Amino acid sequence: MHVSHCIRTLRGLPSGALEVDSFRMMVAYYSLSSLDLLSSLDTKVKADEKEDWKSWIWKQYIADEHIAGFRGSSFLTGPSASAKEPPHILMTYTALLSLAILRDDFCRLDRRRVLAFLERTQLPDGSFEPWPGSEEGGDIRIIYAALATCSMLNSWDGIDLDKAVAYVKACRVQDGSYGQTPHAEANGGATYCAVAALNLASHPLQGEERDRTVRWLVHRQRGGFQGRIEKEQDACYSFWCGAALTLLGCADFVDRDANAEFLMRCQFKLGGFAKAAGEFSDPLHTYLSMAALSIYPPSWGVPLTTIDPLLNARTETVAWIREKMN
Amino acid sequence: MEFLNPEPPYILFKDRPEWSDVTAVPQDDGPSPPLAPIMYNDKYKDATSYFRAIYVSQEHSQRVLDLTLEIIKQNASHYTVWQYRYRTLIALNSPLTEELHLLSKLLPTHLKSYQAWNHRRLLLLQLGKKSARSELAFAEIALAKDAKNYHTWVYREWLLCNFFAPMPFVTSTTISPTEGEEPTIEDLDDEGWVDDEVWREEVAFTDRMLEDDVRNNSVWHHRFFVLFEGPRARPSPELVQSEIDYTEHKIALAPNNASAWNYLRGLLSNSKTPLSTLLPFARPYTLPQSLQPSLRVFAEAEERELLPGENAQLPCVMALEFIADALGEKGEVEEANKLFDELVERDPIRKQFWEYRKRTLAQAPTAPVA
Repeated sequence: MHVSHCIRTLRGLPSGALEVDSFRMMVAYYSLSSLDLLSSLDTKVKADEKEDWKSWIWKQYIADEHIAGFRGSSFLTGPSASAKEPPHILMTYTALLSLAILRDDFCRLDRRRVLAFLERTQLPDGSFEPWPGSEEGGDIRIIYAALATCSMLNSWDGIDLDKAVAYVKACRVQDGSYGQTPHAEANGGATYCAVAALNLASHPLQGEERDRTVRWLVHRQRGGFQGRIEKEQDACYSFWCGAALTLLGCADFVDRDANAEFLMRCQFKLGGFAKAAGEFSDPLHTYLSMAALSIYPPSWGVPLTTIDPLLNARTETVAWIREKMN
Repeated sequence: MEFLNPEPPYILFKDRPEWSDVTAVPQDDGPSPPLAPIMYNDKYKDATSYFRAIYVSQEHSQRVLDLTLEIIKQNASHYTVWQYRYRTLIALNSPLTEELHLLSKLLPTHLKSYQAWNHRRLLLLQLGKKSARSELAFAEIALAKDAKNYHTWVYREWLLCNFFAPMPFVTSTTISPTEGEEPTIEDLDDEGWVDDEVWREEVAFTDRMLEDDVRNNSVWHHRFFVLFEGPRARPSPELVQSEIDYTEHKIALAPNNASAWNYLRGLLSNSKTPLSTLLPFARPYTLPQSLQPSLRVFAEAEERELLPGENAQLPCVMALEFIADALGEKGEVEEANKLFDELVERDPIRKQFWEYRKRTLAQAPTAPVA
């Protein structure tokens, strides 16, 4: 049921999904990665269709003489291309993962220009703006995506890593959690991005600092996980908090069965997972629920492959990227 | 302005005479079947086709404002349209206070749109400090609709840092208000005194918010930011003590409130005060309700007024952990372990974590986790 739900999503979204118009690449990644974890891409999708999907992703690849990256969709594209369409960091990160899931060989990727794109978006405070000239400023999610992209490209040229790390540290709250921007309240998603970004930058949390972060994360489990202190549980935080704990070497602290029981209740009757029981499913919660179950399989087992919690894709998919970008 | 009145029937842009000179540009999603295509409705397809046209011709005009507003109403996450609208406003030298009012009407239905809040931030950067104070009031109204909205809190903190904390703050040049003469915001615009008042009012604001919901962690976080971490924070031992008192009262009101316990730990950690300082306060919360009457008998003599209420669910797990950590900090490993054992029993979802705490305490009895 989850397999057909994900395939349906990849083939078409209802008109109610207008809000993801400029972020279709992310939606595609969630659904592709779900199918990857379910080991269904080879059995349930024909090779031709996968080729079509690959061509669509490459169609979102933007390269000029200086920079290259992926946009989220063709929302600005007319029949005669003349509009300036900048690449977007989150779309570039998810496009690279999606291409790896589809076992693309990355021959068309100009790694040097993708790095130049990241370099151009890094701001004086160390964060990255989502796309050049966005006037949006940066936050910790985009730092994570930028560093994950560098890691996939196997190069950090032009990136001021020390400044990026300093920005992440500025987002730290005294209780060991992280907010999306400096001074902001902590949440599980930002804390995952911080922990993962620090690992990617080879500055992993240690000692008492690490202990505090672990304590904050462990306390978010109620069954499933809540994203902030005294908030309701939400399926996506089973991944954000759970994956962060794994990256900190503390997977043992999670009560797997309690977590899985909560996620099972979030399943929607027509497929997919919702943020909570009784809500509609969506691609993000579907994927992150499965990713959490993959990291923390319950005692009764789940038919999911293993996942790399740092880049957030199936282990074999990450191995594929590492091999192709070596 | 036409767009302020939603009543007249919607006319597609292709049927609007003022757009007849523009050739719409349909979306080209490629020759092969696309990934995650959206079944656009006619309204969106029509409006975005005209947007693609003006995006190429780089037209900045009043009709572009109408067009971008229509698209935003349908898709508030369309970041290119938001940015184009902003640039058009600037190019036309449009009255930005009107845009701010318009956005105030739109925002309540788009509180979770990052782009809508970013647009507001850009407007404020243009409008400057004179508009910032009423923005604090706007943020409070928005919070009345959704008291934990992340974007609203981030926006509020941004307003405070950006407009009410000019650097560097030099006390010697600060004008103190003279008796009977209330300075207006205008004539003291750049003076620290008015800024200080804004920050003081911020504390009162968190009081009000906590009256509504004592568990709202966004409020506790904001209070900590204002008093201890923000650009105008002036931490002092007296402030720490009065905040400890404040928090203890709030805990007495609702003992199983993780936000308040977290704030309390923050106060201690920030001022490098040992947890054990508050052992007398926390201890009663680790005892069952059946023992509370006898505690109350002695409360008066011991000047302890902050006992848990009669309806409180006790023992409180957060208090058990607090005492365990306090004892661990003092090196009283055996006593601390008893509490970790009780936590294993009363908070079994974190069983492995409590066992781990026990093990690490045995190895290094002075490792506190505040």
